[in-house]
Amino acid sequence: MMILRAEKVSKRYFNKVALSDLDISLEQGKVVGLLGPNGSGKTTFLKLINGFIRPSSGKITVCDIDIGYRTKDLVSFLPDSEYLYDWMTIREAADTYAKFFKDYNKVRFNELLDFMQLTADIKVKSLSKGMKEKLALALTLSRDARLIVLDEPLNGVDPVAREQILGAIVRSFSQDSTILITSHLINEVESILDEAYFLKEGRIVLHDTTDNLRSERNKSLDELYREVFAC
Amino acid sequence: MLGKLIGYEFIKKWRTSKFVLLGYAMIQAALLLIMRVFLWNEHVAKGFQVKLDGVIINEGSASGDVGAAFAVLSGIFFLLALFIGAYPFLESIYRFERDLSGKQAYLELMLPVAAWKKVLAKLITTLGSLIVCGTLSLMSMFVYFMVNSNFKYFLEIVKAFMEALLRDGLSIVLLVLNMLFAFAFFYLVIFLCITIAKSFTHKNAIAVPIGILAFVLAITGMAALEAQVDKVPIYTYSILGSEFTVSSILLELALFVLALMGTSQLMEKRIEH
Repeated sequence: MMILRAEKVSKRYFNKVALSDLDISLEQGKVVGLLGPNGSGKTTFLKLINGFIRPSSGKITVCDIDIGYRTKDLVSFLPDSEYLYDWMTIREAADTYAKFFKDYNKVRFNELLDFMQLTADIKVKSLSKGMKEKLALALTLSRDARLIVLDEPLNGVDPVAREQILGAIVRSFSQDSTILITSHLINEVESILDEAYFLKEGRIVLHDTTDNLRSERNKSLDELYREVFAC
Repeated sequence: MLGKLIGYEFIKKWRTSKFVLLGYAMIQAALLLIMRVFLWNEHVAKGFQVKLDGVIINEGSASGDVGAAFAVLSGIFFLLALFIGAYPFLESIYRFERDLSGKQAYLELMLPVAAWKKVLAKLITTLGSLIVCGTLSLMSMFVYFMVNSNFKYFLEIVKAFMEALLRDGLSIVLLVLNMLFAFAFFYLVIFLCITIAKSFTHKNAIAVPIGILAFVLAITGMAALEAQVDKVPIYTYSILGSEFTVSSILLELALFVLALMGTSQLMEKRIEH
């Protein structure tokens, strides 16, 4: 089943082209990487999927539904910046998710919290950047959403936390859903990706399954990334 | 879902405003205590003019009798009471703007709820905080009067208040509802102007003038419409001396729905984050 379909999607800001004629289709049960350097349009595309911005042309559907408030029930999004209120405790943040998202899975959230070694009574204000990242990821992955969108989940966290985060992603992945993940740290995410899109200056320059990409070119994804995006 | 949103908005308001409210209560209590213990004298008690049902029961004496320190502290007390009355207005504008373009906007925009419900929830909680803070402001002024008049007219005032309630209860309720609707409409127009501004840009240097211009145009347009509609009143009625027309009520209801739809549409279709 097709979870996400983006057809000829473009996004322009005045005369600056952020995305140009993007065609992306994500099937159910896949972990897909959207890879590219800063400014290549990764976050812009994720914002389009979540309805935070609108395409200048083209069409995006999630489970055949046009992007709108109804698709927010189907998409679980991890932004690349802090988005929880400082006054919230971890428990209150989880309560907010439980209140508004029908697919919130409390058991999984508690498991992820244990796995990340976080306790529910701590205030968001007193968490370090890495802990905030872990909490946001636990909240995002605690939903049984059809599409899970993770924007740079490994940014700014230490190697041990990165391992924990990747472990949490693998742990909570279900074959009923699809994960779309962006990252600069190709080496770290390579092992969990089934498919990869290489995005350069708002265009897809390479796309295939990671097995095909590796076997056809006899290179790791990281080496391919360096080759494609070398100046 | 609307109920959940209202609950969530109230929690947000309480968590960010509780220190302001507690701070206000403590400062006002301290000011009253200082005035009553150190600066109060019999002249102060006589200083208030008391008028019930149009009958003056205490004339009041010259203000010079109370002393400069007492006058200054009273001034601070009343300024703070005015501030707490205006606080929901300032807080709701700030909060609405932050929910559209602050760092927590992601959380707000992620919620799978129609935009009109989000706007309505914000409006209802703003009215709630207006009632709480307005009551707090009026109550503190009443307490100031009671404490400094040595509770001399307490029973008379309570009695007059109860009599007014029994005599004009329905009219008072209707007038309060009318005022609440007017406030809700006013806030909604402000929300609409903020969303108009934010649909152009999130940069405050440009968005604020656009918002102010939109507000001036909206108020001018509505006043002109109101003037035209008042020429065809349909039916005129009076509540506690204030005159209202059915046509202006219908116009305000129509404009309220239009403003709600406009704000929601802009949030859903135009504003980008």
